[in-house]
Amino acid sequence: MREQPDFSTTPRPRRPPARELLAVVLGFLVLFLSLGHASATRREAGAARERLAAVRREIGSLEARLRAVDARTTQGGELLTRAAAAGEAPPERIVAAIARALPGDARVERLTVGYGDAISLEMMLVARDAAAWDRALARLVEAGPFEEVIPGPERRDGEVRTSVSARWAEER
Amino acid sequence: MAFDSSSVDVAALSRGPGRRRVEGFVRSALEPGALVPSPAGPNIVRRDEVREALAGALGKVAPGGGKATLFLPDGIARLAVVTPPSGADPRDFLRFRLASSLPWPASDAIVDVLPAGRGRVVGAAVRRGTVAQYEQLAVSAGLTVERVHLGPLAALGSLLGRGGRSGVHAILGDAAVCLAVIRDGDLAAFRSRRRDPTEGEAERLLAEASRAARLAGDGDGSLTLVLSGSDAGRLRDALGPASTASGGLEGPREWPEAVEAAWLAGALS
Repeated sequence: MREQPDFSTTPRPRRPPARELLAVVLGFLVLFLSLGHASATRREAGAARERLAAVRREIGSLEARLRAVDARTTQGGELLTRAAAAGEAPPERIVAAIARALPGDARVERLTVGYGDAISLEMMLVARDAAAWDRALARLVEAGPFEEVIPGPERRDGEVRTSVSARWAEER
Repeated sequence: MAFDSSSVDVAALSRGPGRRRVEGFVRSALEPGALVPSPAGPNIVRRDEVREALAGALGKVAPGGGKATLFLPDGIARLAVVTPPSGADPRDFLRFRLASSLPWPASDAIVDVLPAGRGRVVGAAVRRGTVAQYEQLAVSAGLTVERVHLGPLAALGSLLGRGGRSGVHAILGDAAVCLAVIRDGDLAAFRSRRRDPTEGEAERLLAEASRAARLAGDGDGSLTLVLSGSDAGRLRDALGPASTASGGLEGPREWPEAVEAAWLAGALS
């Protein structure tokens, strides 16, 4: 029976019309679906946050490894540079060049070769006297493969014993 | 079950999904003066007699008792058609409109409304004490009262909405008649008045229906007069082709009184 006016002295609650009932049911259905969807979305967000944290941890680890590799690569580069320099200017060639440059009354007592971006030479020269020292220094400067020839402190009375630093300048 | 001054009707209706059908119908006649529909005074005048008629009818169609819906007779309510302002509760508005014209304190009134289309409602105010008389009678017969409707409003409800048959519908009670002009399922006009069953009632009713149709905007008042309820057959016979029957009920046609019972159409709609 369609909804009729009710004049009961103790009226019962009115039954909602079917359309309103259907709307309420649909409303609840949409609400439940939305809650379910929101819950799933929250779970997905949590999983995404965990994945992001894992990726960040992995990135940190990779950066650390990259820094370590870079450091090793830098050291290796230096070694390679040194090795290349040593290959192009072996000590015997340097010794030979010094021997050619020095006059007979001067000799090398000690020679240190430093391989790096440049090849540095540190030698201890002994000359018979001051004149011999002057000649040896002049020939070292003029000899060509040596640049930035810097003599150390010297004593000119009698035998001269002093250090000389220079840079090996032969083209690589 | 429906009460009126001449009879107590009891109909057993099928329950369940789909349209309801009449499973049984009994009309139990009352002696004049046993039940007098009245807005304020005692309605069940000879209680034992009315109760006996009710019990007899129940014993034939619903011997186990159970849940019941009561249809109260025309003549006990104040009826009105109003257009409530937007946002106003239609019941409160109708109570406000009827308060000054009720022959009892407004606080004693039970008010309810029926949507009538185009923002209007047709509603009624019934005195609480009057309803209680009918409810107590049903309870004393072993019934549980679920709802209480007003017979003419229930009949009107079956005429409104989609499928409503256009015409002037005379819903006849023993004491009063309601004239409802229905056009395309909407209530175009509504009048209620006490019946005058003396000679010439049919002609007076036809003239009243023509006036109602004209007032409702039907220029020549040519709408069909549809009669249902108490004495509908007799009045139809008197009017001849100027009137027609309400269309009757679905289901077995083995209860001629049921076909004319206007309230039953409302119960089945």
